[in-house]
Amino acid sequence: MSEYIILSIFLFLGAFIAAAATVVGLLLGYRTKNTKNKMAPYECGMETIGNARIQFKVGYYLFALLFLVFDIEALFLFPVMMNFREIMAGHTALSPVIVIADLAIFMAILVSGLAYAWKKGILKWE
Amino acid sequence: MFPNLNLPGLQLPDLPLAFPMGGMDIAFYVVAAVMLFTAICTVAVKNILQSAVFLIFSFVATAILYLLLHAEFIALAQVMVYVGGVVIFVVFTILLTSHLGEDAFATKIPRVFAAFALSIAFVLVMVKCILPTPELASGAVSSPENYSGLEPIAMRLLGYGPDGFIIPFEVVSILLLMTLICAITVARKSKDEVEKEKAVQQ
Amino acid sequence: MFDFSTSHFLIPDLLLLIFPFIVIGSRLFCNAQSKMPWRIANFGFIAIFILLNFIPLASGEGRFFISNWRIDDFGVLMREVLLVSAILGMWFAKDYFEHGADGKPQMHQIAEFIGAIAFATFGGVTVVSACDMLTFFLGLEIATIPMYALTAWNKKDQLGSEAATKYILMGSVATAFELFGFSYLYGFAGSLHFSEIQTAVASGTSPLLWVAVLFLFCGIGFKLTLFPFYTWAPDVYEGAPTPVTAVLSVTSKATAIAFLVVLVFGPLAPIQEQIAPLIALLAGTTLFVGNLGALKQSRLRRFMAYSSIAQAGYIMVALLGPAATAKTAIIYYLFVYAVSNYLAFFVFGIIGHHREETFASLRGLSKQNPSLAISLAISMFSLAGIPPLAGFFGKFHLFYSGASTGHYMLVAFAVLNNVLALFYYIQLIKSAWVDEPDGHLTPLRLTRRQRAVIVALSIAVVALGFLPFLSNNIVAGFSF
Repeated sequence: MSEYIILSIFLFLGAFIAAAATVVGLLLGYRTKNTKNKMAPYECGMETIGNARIQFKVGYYLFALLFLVFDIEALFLFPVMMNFREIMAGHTALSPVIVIADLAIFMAILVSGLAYAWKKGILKWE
Repeated sequence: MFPNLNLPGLQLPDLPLAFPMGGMDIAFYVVAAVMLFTAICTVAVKNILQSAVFLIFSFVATAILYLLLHAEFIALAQVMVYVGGVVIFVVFTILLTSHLGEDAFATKIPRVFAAFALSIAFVLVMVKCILPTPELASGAVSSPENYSGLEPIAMRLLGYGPDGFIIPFEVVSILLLMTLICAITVARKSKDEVEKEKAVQQ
Repeated sequence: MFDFSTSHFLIPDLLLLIFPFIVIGSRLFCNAQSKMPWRIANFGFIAIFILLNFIPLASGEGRFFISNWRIDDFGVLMREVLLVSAILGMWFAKDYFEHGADGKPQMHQIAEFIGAIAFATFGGVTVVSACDMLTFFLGLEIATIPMYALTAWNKKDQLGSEAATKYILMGSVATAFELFGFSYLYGFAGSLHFSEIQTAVASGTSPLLWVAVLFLFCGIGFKLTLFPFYTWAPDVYEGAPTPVTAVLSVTSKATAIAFLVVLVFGPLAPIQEQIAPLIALLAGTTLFVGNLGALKQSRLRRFMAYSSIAQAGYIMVALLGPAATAKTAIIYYLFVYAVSNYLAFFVFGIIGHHREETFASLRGLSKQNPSLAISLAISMFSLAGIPPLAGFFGKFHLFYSGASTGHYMLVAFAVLNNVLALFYYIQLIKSAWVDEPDGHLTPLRLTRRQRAVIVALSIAVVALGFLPFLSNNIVAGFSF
């Protein structure tokens, strides 16, 4: 449990420093009026046209999907990697050969998905 | 800690007053409050991209809640898949649509009152059903030490003995592959379709 | 005959698992015009179906593989139902990839389509083989997710996309309900394995269990189109491409029923009597609402949607009976339902080729193509449950199962509803046989495949009625 206390200390410290940087800046900073020049994106440069939020290409969606699929794969492999060494050394009830075979099947099925996407030209950015 | 509610028609069983107010409890209430607040913000804010950001905070708080319950794997999944993947996916999907990314998007929920009444009734029923559970009142941990840690999870996930889950583990990969293939097919025009369309246009 | 040792029973499952890889792979490595994927798909599905028929049925606990996978009689027969549905669905869909129909453009990517159907079938297989909640849930998901994609398969059809959106939203809510139910069931029993849950349920109930049961029934109610949760079905059935509607109404329904059967006669078996009122209520309201809804339809697919809602209600009646009777009745009825439903859809498909899929398009069918009209009548009478046909014996078994535990009121209600159902099925037959066509009829063209399948299915609907007690595996013998 103690590692979680350390983790939470880090979490709060991180949040605190981020918050402190903003708040201290606000308190100590020297403030001027917001003139039009100050609020411009660049002092010399083009005015922005329209909304920054444009419609994305559908390609992004497919990339995000691929990412998500392999994210979940990594998630399932992660706990296995945590005690991979012990399994390989034969300290557990599982046989190393079977574990390797299982993982290979798991990976192979997902890699075939990647191969499919590749062959379909999803990875090519048009 | 809680006052015993004395509403007519609602007889709550005696709440476990010997609730230890340790650090874990305080952490739970803080995290739960943050989670609820961000969850409400997610549905309440006008800009749908902001709601995606609030969703991230809500997911992170949920992950911490899982950690407090010693469910390491689920917490990991929450952070990796939901915070890291699903929210990004949600943002992409919002940006894919033509108008939802704009600020003027308004959410209008019809029949708010009925929804509230139903939700409150639901919560009351659940509380009434769950509170009498003896394990909950005593607060005793029924699973062995470190049952849901990452290493034991891995051993069970890969196990092929009586309490192993190797088949669901492999089936997950099938599920993911299938989702991938289906999504690619539906979202993308195949080459022969594009060619056919060109042929029609010419 | 083959001599299968225990692990050989896994071969059809593994083949079914590899099958979509081969079909989609062959599509990737052959050129676009190649007939290879289609031939492989045909060969593969039929081979798996034949292999399944070699598995002898032996009553009892079934055979276990690594404690998560069990193959029992019910599982084997369900596999056959699912494969019959997949094969017929594939044959039905083929024409929609060659030309547009029902005012919708042609579909593309047949290899992926067949792959998706195969994955959905595998999901159903997983549901009937699962021995723990994790596999069980994954199976249901694998059976459902391809259906979302299949609904939106026709990308140029706006209605299809709308239907898919509706379906995926409703389906996700249903999935959430189910997971919620499963989590409470786990909280109650402290184990994921069905055998241990059964022990825990037998040793006493608690409110947690009732919450779990309620949520599980809500979740599966969506997928099985039970009464308060059926509203998505007509829209989705209407919006989806016709072959997908056919697959949805058989494969998806069969999977959902199998889910309930596994649940009610597995982990929840000790409290079957206590949840009987819930099942009876759901069954009664569902078949009533389905029948009422079907009365006023003019679009064929919407009509079939309500008809299938009502059929789900009839099947639910059987869940009240003792395990062996109920399982036999449900399997037999699912076979009959699959065959009759696909026969109807094949006829609709031929009519929908050049016309809209409405009742009006059926007019004059008896003069233009009498054999097609006879097939349509056979399938409708079977769905309605008219005596010499398979549907009657199927319904008889369902009601017998329900009545054998004393639910006479519900069975009487279901029989009365059947009269109502007869009315709308006859309306459809009337528009094919009696109504005069208004104006010129576009000619109907049948491919050789369609003709063969329609003849085979018509014979099957009649023959299954005469052989209602063939409840064992076809090759392996006749002892149940």
